[in-house]
Amino acid sequence: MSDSDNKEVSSEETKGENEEENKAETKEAGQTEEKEQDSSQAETNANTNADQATESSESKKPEKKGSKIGKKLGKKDSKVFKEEFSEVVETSEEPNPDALPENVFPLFMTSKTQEIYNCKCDEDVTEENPFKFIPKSDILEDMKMRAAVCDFHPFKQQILDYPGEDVLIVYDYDFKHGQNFIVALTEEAKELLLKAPEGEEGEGGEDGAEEEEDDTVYLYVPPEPKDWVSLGSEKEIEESNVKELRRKLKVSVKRLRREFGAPVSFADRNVTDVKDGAVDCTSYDDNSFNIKRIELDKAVQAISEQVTEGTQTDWKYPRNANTQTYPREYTEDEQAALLATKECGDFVLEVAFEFHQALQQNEIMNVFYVDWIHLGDGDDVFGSKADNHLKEYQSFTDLQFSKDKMITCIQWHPTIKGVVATSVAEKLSFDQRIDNAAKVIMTPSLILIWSFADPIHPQLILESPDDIFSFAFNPTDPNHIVGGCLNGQIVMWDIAAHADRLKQQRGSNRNKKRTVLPGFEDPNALKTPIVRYCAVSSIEHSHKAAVTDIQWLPDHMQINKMGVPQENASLQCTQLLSCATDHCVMLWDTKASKLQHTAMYDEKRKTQQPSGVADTFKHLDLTWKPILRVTLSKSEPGGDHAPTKFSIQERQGDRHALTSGTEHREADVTQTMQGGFHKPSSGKERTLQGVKTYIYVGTEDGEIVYVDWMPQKDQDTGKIQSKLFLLDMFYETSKSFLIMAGVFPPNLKHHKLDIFII
Amino acid sequence: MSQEIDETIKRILAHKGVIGAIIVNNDGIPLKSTLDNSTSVHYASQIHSLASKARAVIREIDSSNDLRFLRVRSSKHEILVAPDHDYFMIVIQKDAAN
Repeated sequence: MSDSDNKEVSSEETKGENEEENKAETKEAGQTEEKEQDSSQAETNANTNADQATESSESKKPEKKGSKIGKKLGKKDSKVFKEEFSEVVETSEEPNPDALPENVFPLFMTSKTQEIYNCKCDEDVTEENPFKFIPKSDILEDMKMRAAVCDFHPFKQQILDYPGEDVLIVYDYDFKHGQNFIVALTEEAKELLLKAPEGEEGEGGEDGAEEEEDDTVYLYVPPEPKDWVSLGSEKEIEESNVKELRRKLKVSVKRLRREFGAPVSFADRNVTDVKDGAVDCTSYDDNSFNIKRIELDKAVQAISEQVTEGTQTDWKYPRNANTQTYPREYTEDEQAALLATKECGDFVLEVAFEFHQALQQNEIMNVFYVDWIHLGDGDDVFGSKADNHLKEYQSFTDLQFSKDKMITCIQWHPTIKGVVATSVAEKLSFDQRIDNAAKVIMTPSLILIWSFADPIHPQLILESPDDIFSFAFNPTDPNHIVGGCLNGQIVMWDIAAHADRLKQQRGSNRNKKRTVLPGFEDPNALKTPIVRYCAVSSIEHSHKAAVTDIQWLPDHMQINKMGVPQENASLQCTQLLSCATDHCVMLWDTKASKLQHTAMYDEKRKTQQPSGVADTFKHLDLTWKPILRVTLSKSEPGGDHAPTKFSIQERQGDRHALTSGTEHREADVTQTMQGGFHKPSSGKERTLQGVKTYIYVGTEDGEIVYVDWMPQKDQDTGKIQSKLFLLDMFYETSKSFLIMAGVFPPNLKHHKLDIFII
Repeated sequence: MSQEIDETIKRILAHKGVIGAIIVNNDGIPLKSTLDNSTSVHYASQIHSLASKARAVIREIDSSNDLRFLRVRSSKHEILVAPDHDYFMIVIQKDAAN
């Protein structure tokens, strides 16, 4: 049997060969050890295949190597098999769908066999219906008939032992288990196969059916109680339990009977005699109360008050109610009757008078007519009410020269009516000038002379080296103009050459009365002539800051080097005063000094004057020095006064100083402090006695000071310097203002000053 | 009697600007009117209450005093009221100056 087994086995697997050898060797010793072995036994008996090997190999592999001896033949009791199988069941119970349940073996059935048992593939048994029950007797017969050729031969013993009548054959369509059929060799296996055909069938062919069935069948597996693992909690319980560890003790306390109620005598005992005589219960800090509860966890729950209230309202709904009235009326008869009564008649006559009065009153005049409201009604007819403010009459702008510039000074021409001169300067602050220095230098600084007849083109343009901030016409010779520059220089112009231009008034520029021959036209005829300055003061000796005010001295006086006002015989304005913010008032003379005069002739310096420039003041050019300089120093330290405007008492055209001087001569002695003097006249010029030598100066700080231009000999120091007086009365009010203009009224008596403060 | 009344009223109406005249009795019912009925009734009722109030004012301030004449000047008209114990008379005059 074993040989035949071996043959069959060996034809299929090499593994079987090995096992056969083992079987041959350990045939005898196998029986006792079969029990120890598990499914390896079954394998050796049956046709082994890969699948089965997987099943059993899981449990068997480790044993295989070391258990050559263990492998035994399979001829043993079915009981043993069963035991082994049961072991197999226990150990390899993994629900491996591919693994065959126990006692189920793959079986190959040849076509002949299939014919015999009527279980041809795809005929009797199909994928869908893979089960076939073959009677046991048939198998046995077949085995007898064909012996080893029978497919069932390997299972012969099992078939013999098979308890049931029919053996279940399951068609294994996919050869899942290695062969085309599976045979169940025990009842349990049969049941299993039948019970769970879905899994196998699905594996065999119908996957879909298997899945469905898996989804729907949920078997409740109650949890199995596991062994209790101690984690130590029972010790706590043991500790808290009260156990009797020992027997209870009994103590009996007795006292002598005769001592009950016996008299006792007490004695005193000193505390200190005995140790422990007194027991102190001192107070001690119990730390348990030391812990301050600083943080409390508290919770508050608030619920809203709920009140149930009810009210009952009277619903007074508005109702529309209408009343319609009819006036009571009398019938005509009633009326007539009433009117006819005496009372009525009397009444009417009585009140008639009142009415007449009232009506007449109303006729005469309307007492409620308000005159005030209608006051100006009559004037509305002819235009608006009179303008009290200035209306611009004419404006003079030159697009080229005066655009975007500010006008720093404006003066009337002394003699020619309708001619004004304005000085224009750049609208830049000091810092801006520095920033734009290059540009500022290039743009020419001008004085524009306008005629009212021509508001577009200036009649004349005077050019100056720097922006002019104040200038003045010479009252006696209007062709001389002096101006004070931004840099402190004094500039002179002589416009004698163009004087007749100014005299022409009406549209003279364009309509030349003289006919001009073509070809000989002067292209510059229509252009405004530009006059260059003819003299500038010496830079060193000029002001060091911008000249804020410049005035010609009246023609009847002149001031000499000592500040003495003298009579000016020529009655021409030759001297001028200028003040600047460098705290100085300077007196200039336009006449050539003797020295200069001679120098010029001696050296014969006929330096070329630039064309078009008069040489009237050539002697002054670049060397002009002031005759007199009056510094406005403050008595307290902190800078000197910076004058913005000044005014002297003497007026151009007011000649009375010339005449009044003689009268005051005797009274001079007492007038030293007032600016008079008693210096005897020297030289051919007559000194003017009555002239007050004060200059009233308004300063940048808002103060008004007056200074005597004539330096007095200082009593204390012996120095000759000008005295400066401060007009205290103005100090407080004008402290924050800048004096812009001051006019000295020609009133000798009072030190009255009209001051315009801005 | 009624003739005299008519004459008086005619003379009153002759004044410049007079629109109309109404004689009203104590209850506010017009007795004679130169205006149409509805207007005179209207005036009568309104003026009646006004005149009573005016009288009450005067008498409140000085009980020996009494209202003699009442002129109500409006922007368009002037209403002249002469009250009496039993009757009162209303004359409406247009603003003569305009």
